[in-house]
Amino acid sequence: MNTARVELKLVLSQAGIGDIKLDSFSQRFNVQKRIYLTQVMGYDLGYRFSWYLRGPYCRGLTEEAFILKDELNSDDNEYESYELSSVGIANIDRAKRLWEIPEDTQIDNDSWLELLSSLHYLKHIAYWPKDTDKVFNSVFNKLIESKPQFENSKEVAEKAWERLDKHGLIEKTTSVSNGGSGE
Amino acid sequence: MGAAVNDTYRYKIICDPVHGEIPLSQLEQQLVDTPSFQRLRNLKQLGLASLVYPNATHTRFAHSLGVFRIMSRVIDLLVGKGHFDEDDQRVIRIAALLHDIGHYPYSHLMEFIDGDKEYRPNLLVKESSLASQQTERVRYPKHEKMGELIISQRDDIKHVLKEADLDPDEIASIICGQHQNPAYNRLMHSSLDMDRMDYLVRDSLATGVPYGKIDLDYLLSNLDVVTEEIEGQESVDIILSKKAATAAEHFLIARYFMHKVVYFHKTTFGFEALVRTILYLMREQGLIYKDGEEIEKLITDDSKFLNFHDGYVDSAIRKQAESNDDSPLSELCRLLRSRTPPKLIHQVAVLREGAQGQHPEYALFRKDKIEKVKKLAEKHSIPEEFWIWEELPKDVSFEALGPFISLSQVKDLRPDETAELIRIQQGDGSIKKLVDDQHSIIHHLSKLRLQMSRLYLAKPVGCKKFEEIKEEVIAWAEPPAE
Repeated sequence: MNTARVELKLVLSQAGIGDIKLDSFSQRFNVQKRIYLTQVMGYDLGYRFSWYLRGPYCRGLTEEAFILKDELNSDDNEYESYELSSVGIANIDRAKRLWEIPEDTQIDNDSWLELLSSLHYLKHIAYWPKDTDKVFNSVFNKLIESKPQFENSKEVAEKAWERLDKHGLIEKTTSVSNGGSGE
Repeated sequence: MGAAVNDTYRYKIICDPVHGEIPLSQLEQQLVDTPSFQRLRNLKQLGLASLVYPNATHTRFAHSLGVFRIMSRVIDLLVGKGHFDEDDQRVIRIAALLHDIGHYPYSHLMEFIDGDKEYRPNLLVKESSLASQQTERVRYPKHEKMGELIISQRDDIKHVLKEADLDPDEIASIICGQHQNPAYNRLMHSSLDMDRMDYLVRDSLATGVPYGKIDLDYLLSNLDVVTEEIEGQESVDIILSKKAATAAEHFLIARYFMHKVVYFHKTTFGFEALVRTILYLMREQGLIYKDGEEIEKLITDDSKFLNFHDGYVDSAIRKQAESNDDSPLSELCRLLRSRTPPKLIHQVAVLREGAQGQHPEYALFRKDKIEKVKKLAEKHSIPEEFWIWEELPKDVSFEALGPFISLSQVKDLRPDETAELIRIQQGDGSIKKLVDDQHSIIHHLSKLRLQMSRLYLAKPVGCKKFEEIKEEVIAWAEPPAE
C-alpha cells in the first residue's frame, strides 16, 4: 500500500467511510464528493477534478479507491502504522459539518453533496468568460443548464450556498482549484 | 467526412509520417512558432526508450501535432453535423494543439518525482518523533497545471491568443477538463482517446515494434456523433459505426501489447526507474528545482523555462557523473551515462480478473517491500539507493474501466465513469458500449488486469552474488509452507 492510499484510507475513515464499499454508484459518488469537499476545506490529497455530467469528478480517485479496497481485502494493513495529524483531522471534521444536511431541508444525502460540490466547483474552478459576476443566481443558472434535476430546488441550492459561505468557501478561492484531469 | 476543410485551416501544411498532412491555420502556425511550443522539440516522447529502441527519438512536438490532427478531423465532423460551430472549432483545435505544452523533462519521470515519497504533512508515522519523515515541500505541479500556467502567463502564447481575441484561460480550462461546457471537456477526454491513437502509431513506427499499428484512418473515417439524453441532460458523444468495431478492438488490444513490449520493457523500465531515483536524490541535494514553487516561478523566466527540457536533466546528470565523488548518486549517474541498465532481480507479472483482486503471488511479493529491501541492502552491504522497486502506476487494462471494476458492475456505472468507454452504433441505430457486446473479445478481456511488480539492482555485482540475491527475492513471492 503506498502512502497515497494509506492517507486515502485514513481520510475516508475519518470522513465516515470506514468500510470502503464501491459496488454501487452511490457509494462511489460519496467517495468522490466527500474527498472533493475535504480538499476544499483545506486537506489537499492531490486529487484534481474535472466537470463531466455529475461533476466534479476525478477518475484517478475512483481508481485509487478500487486498488485500496483490493489491498485491504488482501490483508494489507500498512495504514495501521500511520495516523492523521490533528490539523488534518480538524479539517476533515470541518468538512463533515459542511456536508451535514441542515435540519429543515428536504433533500437526500447524495443530492446535497452534489449541490455543495457543484456550486463550489462552478464558482471557483470552472472557466467563466472574463468579468462574469459569479453570484448565486448566475452560478445556479449555470448549474441547472447541466443538471436540470435541480431546476426546482433553488431554495435548497440557496441553503447549500449559504452553508458554503458560512464555511468561508464562497469568497475565497481554493488552493486545490487547478491542475488537470485528475489522472 | 464532415464539412470540407476550410481554407483558413490550410495556411500551412506539415508533413508527418503518421498522418500524412497536418494542415494548420495561420493562428495555429503562430502558436507552433512560439518559443514555448518549440521547447517541445527537446522533449523526447518516449524518454529513455531510445536506449533500447535506437530510433525512438521522436518528440512531444511531433506528438502534439499528431493529436491536433486527429482532433481537427473529429471537430470537422462535429461542425459538419451541427453539434459545434466555428467558434467552438477554433478553440478546441487550439486546446488540442497545446494540450501537452506543460510536459516536464523526461515527462512523467520528473513530474511524479516523489512517487511514494511525496510530502504528506498530515500523514504521521505512529510512535515516531519524525512526524511525516519528509521535508516540507510543495509538490511539483502536474503537467496539465503547468500547461495552464504556460498558456496564461507566458507572453509569447498569451500575445498570439489575445491578438486573435481568444482568452488564454479558456484554452487552459479545456485542456484541464474544467470548462463550464461539459461537451468541451468530454471531447478532450473522450472514449476515442486521441492522445493514445497518435502515440500508439507513432511509437510503433519509431521503435519498429509493430503492435501499435492500429487502423487509424479507418477508425477516424467511421466516426459519428450522437446526441443522447443522459440523466436528464443532453450529451453529445462520439461513437463508431459497427463496421469499425474490429478496428476498435484492435486499438484497445494494441495498447496492451505496446505496454508489454515497449513502455514496460524490462530494460527501458529499469532505466526510467534509475532516472527517477537519480532525480529524487538530486532534488534532495538541491541539484534540480526543489519544489513546485520553483517550477511555477520558472515559467515566466525565459532563460530558465526555455531550457527546461530533457537537456536540463541530461546536463545535471552529466555534471554529477563527472564529479570525483563516490556517492551513490554520482555512481548512479555514471551507470546511466555508460548505459549500464539496472538488472532485474525478479518480477511478478500476472493477468488477473479484476473482480478477484490482487493475485496472491503479486500480493506476497510486494508485501512489506520497503522493510524487505532495507534488510537486503544491509545484508549485502549495498546502499538502499541501488535497490529500485518499480510497479505499474496503475494496472493496465484493456478498456478504460477502473482497475477492479468487473463486468458484473458495468451496468451500475454512470456516465462520468463510462465517459471514456468506446461506443458502437448498432445496425438498428442503438448505441452499445463495446464492453457490453458479449461477442466482442473486449467484453472478455476487459475483466483482466495486468499486475506487475519488479525489483531491480542498479549496482553491478558478480554473477554469484546476483544469483544469491535473486534466490532470496524469489522466495518472497512463495506462499509460506503449510
